[in-house]
Amino acid sequence: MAYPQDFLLWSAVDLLWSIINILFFRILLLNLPNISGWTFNQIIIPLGFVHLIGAFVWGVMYSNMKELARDVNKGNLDLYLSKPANSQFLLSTRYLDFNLLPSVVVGSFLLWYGFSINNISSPSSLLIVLIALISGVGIAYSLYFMSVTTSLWANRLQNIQDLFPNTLDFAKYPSEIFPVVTRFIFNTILPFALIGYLPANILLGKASSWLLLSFLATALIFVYISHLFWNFALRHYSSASS
Amino acid sequence: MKKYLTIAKAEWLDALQNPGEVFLWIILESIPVFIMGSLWIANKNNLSHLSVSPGQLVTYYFVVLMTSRIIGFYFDEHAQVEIRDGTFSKHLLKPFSFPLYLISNNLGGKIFHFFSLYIPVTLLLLITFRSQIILPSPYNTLFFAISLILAYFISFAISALTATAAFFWEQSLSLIHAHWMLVSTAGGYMLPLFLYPEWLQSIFNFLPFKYLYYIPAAIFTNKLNFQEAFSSLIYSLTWAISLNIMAYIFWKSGLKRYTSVGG
Repeated sequence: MAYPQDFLLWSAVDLLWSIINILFFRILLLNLPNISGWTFNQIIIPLGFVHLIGAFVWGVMYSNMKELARDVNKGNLDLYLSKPANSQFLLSTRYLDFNLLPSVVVGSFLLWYGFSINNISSPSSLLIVLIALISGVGIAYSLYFMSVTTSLWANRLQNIQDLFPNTLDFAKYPSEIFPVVTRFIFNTILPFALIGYLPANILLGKASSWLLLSFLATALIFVYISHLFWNFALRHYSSASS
Repeated sequence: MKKYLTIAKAEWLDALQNPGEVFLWIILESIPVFIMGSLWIANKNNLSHLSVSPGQLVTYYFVVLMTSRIIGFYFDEHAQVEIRDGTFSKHLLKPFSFPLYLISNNLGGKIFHFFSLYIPVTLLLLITFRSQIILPSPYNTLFFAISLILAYFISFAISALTATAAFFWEQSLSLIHAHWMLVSTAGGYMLPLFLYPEWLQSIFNFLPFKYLYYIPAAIFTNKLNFQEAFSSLIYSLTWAISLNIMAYIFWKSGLKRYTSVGG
């Protein structure tokens, strides 16, 4: 925020990318009646969720994960491992990028718009959104952190931080479009299908609200696994000190 | 010539050092084709009104991916930063042409990627979508090869124009994003141009971006007839020449404005 002109410029860039993403689905659904049963009016809701999770991934996680991969390569991790605090927490919260604020606004707008055109107005829907976002953030964080943690086994993986944000694209589409095996993976091992389409299914009355609790439980389990994975990976870390 | 071959070789050897990163690129590069291929196959019963087969659409994305790796130049951001902070001077002191250095460097990396990236990605996608991939007719194979060469020079000129903007404008980094946005939409990277509304297609027809991805992919998938493919190549050639002349003029006038302090 120290450079207002820079902030405005990059916010404009982020806003334009968001518009292009929505335009993509609009044009796709001008040519197709639906995508595996999802019309444009309905698909707006999962897109809103994925957009908000995407803002978290790019705005909060990306710079931290990029720096983590670089620290592993340069041997600078010692500095954080020797501090009297949880190293996973320290390494995940070093930077915050406010340029992604337009993505938060666009994501919120998509959810609001999706609610109005689908006549979703019950107060409980706000609670569903809140739990879904917390769970989505938990799953996105865990998967992203674990993917970058694998760089501790390699000498150099400078593009590892790009892997998760790119795979998040899977969450924009209903899992029904994918082959059976991939669909199974996206519902269990890499639960991208849960991030946007599960809460949308619940909000549209296509799935039971109880599934939201399993979503939250899955997120908590994934966060815990990421913690175990980090501790396990640290045993393989070595550096020439800094 | 020997010095440019050495530059290409150096880039090739540098790329060889990181097999793990190459493996990740294979995954990253395959994701969009896998998603779009799955999407069109899942919705194949809804395509009758578009006069296009699922095979053509799957192949379209496959060709766009390969084209993007063959014609891609990524020097613009780096060059802009160097022009702004003055470290660009080091390139001007070296005994070779900077534009030819960029092309040699790019081709060196491409040769490495041909074996390490293009062949594995091709095999991976052929295994996944083996029944869907279609092949071009004999004359379209030739036209496709020509369209790729022309697209390479258009891509170089657009990246060079984006980079040289740093000589004239402080906030030129945003132009890199404008470049990618136009390539994604008007270039046909995101969606084939025939899916866009007609008014948008007519705007895109006035821009050079469709000759980067849409035209090569449309030729490969037999979406254009002989006459359309031939005239597209003429337009592509015109854009390649005029954009490179423009880039040369901007480069020369930018160098006259360029100042830096220290060594």
